[in-house]
Amino acid sequence: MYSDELNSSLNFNSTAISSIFKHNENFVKRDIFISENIPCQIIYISGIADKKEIQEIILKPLLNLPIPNKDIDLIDEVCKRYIYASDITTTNSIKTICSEVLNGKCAILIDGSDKAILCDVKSSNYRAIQESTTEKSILGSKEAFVENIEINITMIQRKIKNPNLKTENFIIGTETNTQIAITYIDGIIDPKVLDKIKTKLLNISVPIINSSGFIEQLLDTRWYNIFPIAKTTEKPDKVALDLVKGKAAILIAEYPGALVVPGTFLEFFQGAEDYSDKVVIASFSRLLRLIAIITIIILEPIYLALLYYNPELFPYELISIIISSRQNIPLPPLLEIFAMDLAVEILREGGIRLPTPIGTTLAIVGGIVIGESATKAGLVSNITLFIVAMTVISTFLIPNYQMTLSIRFIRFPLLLLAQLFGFLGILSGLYFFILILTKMDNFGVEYFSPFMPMRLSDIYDTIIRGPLNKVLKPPKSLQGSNRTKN
Amino acid sequence: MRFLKLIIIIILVSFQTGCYNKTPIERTSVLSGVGHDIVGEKKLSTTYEYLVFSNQNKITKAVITTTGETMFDVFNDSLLETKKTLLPGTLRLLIISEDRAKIGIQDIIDVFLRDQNNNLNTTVVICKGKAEEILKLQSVESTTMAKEIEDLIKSSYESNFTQRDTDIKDLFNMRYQAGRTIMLPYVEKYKDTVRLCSIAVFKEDKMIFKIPREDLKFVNMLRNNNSSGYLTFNSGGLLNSLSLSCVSKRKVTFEMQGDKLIYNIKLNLKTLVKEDTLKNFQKLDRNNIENLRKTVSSEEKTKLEEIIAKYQNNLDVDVFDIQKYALAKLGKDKEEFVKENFRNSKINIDVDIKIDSTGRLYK
Repeated sequence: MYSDELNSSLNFNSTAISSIFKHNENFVKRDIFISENIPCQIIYISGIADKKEIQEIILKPLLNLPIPNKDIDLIDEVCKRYIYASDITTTNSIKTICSEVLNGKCAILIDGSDKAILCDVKSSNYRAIQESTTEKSILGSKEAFVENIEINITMIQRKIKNPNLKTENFIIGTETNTQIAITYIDGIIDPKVLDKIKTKLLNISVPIINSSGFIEQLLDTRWYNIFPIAKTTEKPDKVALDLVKGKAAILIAEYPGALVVPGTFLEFFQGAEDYSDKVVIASFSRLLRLIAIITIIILEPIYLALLYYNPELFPYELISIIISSRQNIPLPPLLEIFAMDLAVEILREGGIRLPTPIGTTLAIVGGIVIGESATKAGLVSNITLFIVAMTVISTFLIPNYQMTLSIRFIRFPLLLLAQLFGFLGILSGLYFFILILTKMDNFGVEYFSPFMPMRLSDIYDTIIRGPLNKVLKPPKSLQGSNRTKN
Repeated sequence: MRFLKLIIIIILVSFQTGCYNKTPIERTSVLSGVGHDIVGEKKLSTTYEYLVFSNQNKITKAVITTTGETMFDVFNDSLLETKKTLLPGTLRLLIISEDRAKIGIQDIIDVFLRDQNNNLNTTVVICKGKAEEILKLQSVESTTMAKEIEDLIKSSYESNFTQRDTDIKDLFNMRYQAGRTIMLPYVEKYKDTVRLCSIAVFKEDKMIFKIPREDLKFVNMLRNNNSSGYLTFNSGGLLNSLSLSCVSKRKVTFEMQGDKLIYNIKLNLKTLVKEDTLKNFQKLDRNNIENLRKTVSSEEKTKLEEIIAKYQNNLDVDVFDIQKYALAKLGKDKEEFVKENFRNSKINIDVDIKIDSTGRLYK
């Protein structure tokens, strides 16, 4: 075992670091002599560090230029006079050297010195900034996050030219050492909320962090919670808007997205374009989404409850149509709905995994073929098919994918309750979900705010969208309460 | 833990509700109309009209009639014939024969009042002859006769100043509100269908007479607020008339002078000239229109005074629905006093006809 600190022997230092990267085929050690035959070693990971850059800014000056004075501090002299890298640090910790080398830096060890120079020569072989495929924007900015965390932070900084925009880095993942950055605007974000986010991030101890989904789940201690607590987005303009409203964004290295925290229930139903549209148009879109949400949650359960318990509540003309369509259908309504829902979910899941054009074709053709053949075979009634189709189409109106999954899930327990207890079951189920929403607390911010607790000043940006001068102020709802559950 | 307790309580409460006593829609018969008749002197008869779904998209109707001594004797018997559960909540029409109405409809009102499964929006009518015969007619414009009669009643408010709603809720109000009289639409079989021909007037829960067709419009005008219809003033002979389309607003005030009950009915009629073959508007000016307004108002007032005299003095029945205003002022305990003194009370009528438009045809 080696100690964590370097000593003045290059051999010792080199062996200590090499033993850590023993089976790493990409680990490169390059021995050179600088000045008057002083042994020196350049260490980097091929692929992560840019070889050309190492040649240009480290090897060339070190090999070609003589170092005049022997009595000077060699590490300091090399740093200040010879290395062309703009980001340069020194360290004597072997652990830091290893983690930085893995992050794309190059370490320079010099015999006789107990410090190493770390130069940023990270390879820029990353995907170029492109348009988001999942969050299409009509009026807003087209650029989307990429896998390079520095570029992502830069994109946010370009949008918020404010000295109060802060970025703090963390390393999470005991095996992966993934760089996580949290950005926020100091003075706008509530310090209590920020503290809670940071504390939770620091308490994460898992071997690997791969995506924002990992972080979101690890920030939420309630494993049974079905509602998302943070918004995932690929768009820097959305992040900028949220930061200005007093939130924080968590960026993950090698992940093309950001996690915006804390999230409140209603904002998952708000599209970024809402703020670009006129007040009336944006409010209409939001009301349409509200109708869609109600449709997803209760249309199927209400249909089922009416079929089983209260058929007399159907209008007279409609009941005739429903009974006619249900003649000789072998499946009971619940199984009929479940069967169609299952078919739709299978089609949707299949569509997601396939390439976009094929997936879309599968979803459309599959939907038509299955629906048509199920009704022709007399397995499913036309009305049931219509109800299921309406529910499925309504799910497309929710802008946030995670919330779509949660809302879609809610209707299944409600269907069972409707089958067992009719309208009483639906009402109990809805009451239960509203109870959960009102009790939920997200980094000290009430999840169901501004309705619970009621904050009239924030109502302008909920079901409707008020004038921009009222909406763009940091909402009072994001000022954390004294609740400390999550 | 508190959360768990709450869930347990909700589940336990849910199991106590009896919701599991359900009838899926496929096993229900959609009840469309119910007709009540009397057979002989002591037997009641009920006719049920319901929808039959034979094949996909083919809907027909079926009618069954059973008899018994009470309404539920009859219902019990009907269950022996029906193959599916009758759904009372979908009932569109309750039709009661004149003979049945004359012996009283309190049992019918009571059933609807008690049973929450019954539909309170069901239209109620009285019919000439047997209700069974009417329900057995083959509907021309709808699947069932019940729906056809319901449509007839619902569209009737457009003429003859008929009241807008005559459903079970209105029946309850007319029966149980102090100072009111039950008055229901009266239909009769006409060719292969039915037509609205009068209004049945009740005392308590028993039908006592029906209003003759020629009085119908005027009684309705005196009785209903915000009603509409057509008034025609004829100077004798064909092609010599003035027709007005009217919207009538009624305002009733009540006062007592000594022991004398005085009702003041003020009718404001906003009218449009629809037809004028009397050539009133040869000269279209303010004076001409004002003179015509005064003439038709006065003419209408005279007709209404005749109607009031007829029903007040000869029949002693408040078909104008005005006694409730007296009771509102005097108190519910004076109901008997108000009813007894109806014949001796004074009913003033004031008619104000306003001609809003003479139409687009000017001479």
